[in-house]
Amino acid sequence: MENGWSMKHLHRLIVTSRTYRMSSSVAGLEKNQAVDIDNQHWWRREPNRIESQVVRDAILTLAGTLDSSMGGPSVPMDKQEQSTRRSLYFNHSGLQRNSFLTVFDEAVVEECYRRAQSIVPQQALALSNSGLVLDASAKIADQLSNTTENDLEFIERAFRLVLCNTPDSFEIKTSQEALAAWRAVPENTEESVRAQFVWALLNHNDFVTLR
Amino acid sequence: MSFENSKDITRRQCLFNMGAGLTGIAMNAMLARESQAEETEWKPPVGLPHATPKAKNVIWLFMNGGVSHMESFDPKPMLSKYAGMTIAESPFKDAQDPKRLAIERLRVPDANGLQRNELYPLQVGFKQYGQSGIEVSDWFPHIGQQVDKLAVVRSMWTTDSNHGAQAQFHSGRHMNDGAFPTLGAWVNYGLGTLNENLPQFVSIGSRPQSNRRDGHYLGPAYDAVPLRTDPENPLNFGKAERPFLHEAQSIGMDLIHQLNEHRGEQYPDDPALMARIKSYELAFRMQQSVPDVMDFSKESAATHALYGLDKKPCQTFGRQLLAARRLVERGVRFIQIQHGGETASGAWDAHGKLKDNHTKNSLAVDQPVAGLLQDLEQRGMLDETLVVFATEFGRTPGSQGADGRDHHIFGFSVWMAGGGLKRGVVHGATDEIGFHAVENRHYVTDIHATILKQLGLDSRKLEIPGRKRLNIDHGKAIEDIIA
Repeated sequence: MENGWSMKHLHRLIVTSRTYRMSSSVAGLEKNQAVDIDNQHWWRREPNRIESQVVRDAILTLAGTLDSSMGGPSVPMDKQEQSTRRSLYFNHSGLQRNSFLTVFDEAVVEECYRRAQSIVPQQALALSNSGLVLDASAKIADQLSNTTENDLEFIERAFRLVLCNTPDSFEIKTSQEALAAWRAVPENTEESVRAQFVWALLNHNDFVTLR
Repeated sequence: MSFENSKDITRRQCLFNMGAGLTGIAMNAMLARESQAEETEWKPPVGLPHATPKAKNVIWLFMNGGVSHMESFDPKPMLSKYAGMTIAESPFKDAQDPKRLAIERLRVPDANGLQRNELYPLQVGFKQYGQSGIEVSDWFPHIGQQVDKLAVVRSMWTTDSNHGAQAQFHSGRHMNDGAFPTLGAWVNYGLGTLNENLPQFVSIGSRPQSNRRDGHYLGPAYDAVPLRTDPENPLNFGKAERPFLHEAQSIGMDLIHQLNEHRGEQYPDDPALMARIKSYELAFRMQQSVPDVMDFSKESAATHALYGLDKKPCQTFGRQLLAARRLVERGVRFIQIQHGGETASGAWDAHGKLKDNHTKNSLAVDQPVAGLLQDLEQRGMLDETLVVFATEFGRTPGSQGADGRDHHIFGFSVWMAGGGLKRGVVHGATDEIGFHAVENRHYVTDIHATILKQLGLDSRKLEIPGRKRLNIDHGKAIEDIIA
């Protein structure tokens, strides 16, 4: 109120607070853990799984194909697989639910729109087998390859783009080894090798996790 | 109390910590002592039972909404005899002695979960079945035929007369206490897997809102993995939707695994990360194993008929139970099947039109359940498989409205079969109108303790630091029904 009801002020206050900027890691903080296992005193950040719609929209954003236009009619069930509209505009009902979104826990009317944060193998299948992710992987890899042919640079940029993280030496080394293994698969091309790498990063735990 | 989680401490912070710390000193010291004591003793379970197990697998059938015990496995002819009379006018008036009603903990201020005074006659007949002569209502004729395999517990009680009691039956705690691990999660936590290609804890059927998860403080890795039993479409995204060589996919899976494990070093004790690593390993193998489990085409016509797959009303539940048997054959430890969990309160919640409601629901489950018991027996699997048939509470002896019964926590029935339990026995009893459990009374966790005992597990040895459980959470095994 004192700041003219500024939302910006409020957001800044929240995101610059000590609590908000805490790490979600418990490394070296076993003592805190012993005292307050449920983190009731907010001595660390709670890692969060991003919501179903955000998972899909984030994949499309990275691929550069998300249609960010606002308003208009909702997308019916049979058009959703091809659609690049934001997930917000997807029609869903008690009977018809988008199978990709549902597996990442939808907001349910009967539960006051609360969402669970389940972790089930079906999510791994959706992220590793869906056309959505496989198509996006190829597009993301293409864009990255346009600006660099150097493997190391490609790996670093892919990590930054997909996971918002700079890879450490272990991550670079294992990524290089995987790229070499993929190149040894006779049917693979340079494009498919790089798409497969991006696909692996989209399946990294931290792609769907906020820390 | 101070919780340090940032490298740079400002002057202001330092002063704040000192001030806030003063009140916390005594408590800190106290808690530190406690945690030290636990640290020296506690080790995570190694996946082996604590005692020689009698049972290897559990099939947990849960009827959501509350099955009428008087019209299923605890028939009460006195209800028909004194029908229309209030309990206070009947010879059973001491059932409403306020002292005996005191176990009820929570009353939700809505139209349900109230005392119902006017005795409501039985809506269905009953008869004795088998050599044991146990009485079962005419809504369950197929299960009646199998009664010599059952251990019926007629003296269950619980504390909360709303449907939060569903979660309570699974974890021992009502949702108002918070969320606690369910029995299946404890089994999953305590015992090793028997088949790496399938989840060891599976859930089939819709789960009502208050009872969606299992692991809770044990972590999401111990949640049941939901499976569908549609043979046409057993698993969404079951194979890659674009050309993707298996070899290339498995190189990627290795990379994902290595990168996630590496993250686990930076973020130790992150239960979600651990669960995700496990879920990827499982997902890769489930692509093969799950369609195979749900392919019923190799089952004989006789088996299909046994589970009632040829009959519309019981086809869905029949398929789920046949899937359960196939999962047990493949070594899945705990299969939790929810009946009637599509609605918030549960399908058996017959506040009105009880006769229609229970007729319809019993038609859906009776034959498949009996089929499952016969099938397990024929295959020699019943000795090591424990089947449970449970519900969150019973229904009132008095009528609600013209033709229904309300929630009833003071006495209800559950039965178990196989897994080293006695066969064809009744344990415990309610009074003559089915109001109170009067003989060998059991809270819901006694069922848990019985099952854990048969699996060779000791729930006290599974406790983890910082999560002290109460005696009532552990329950006591019902020794009388153990063979």
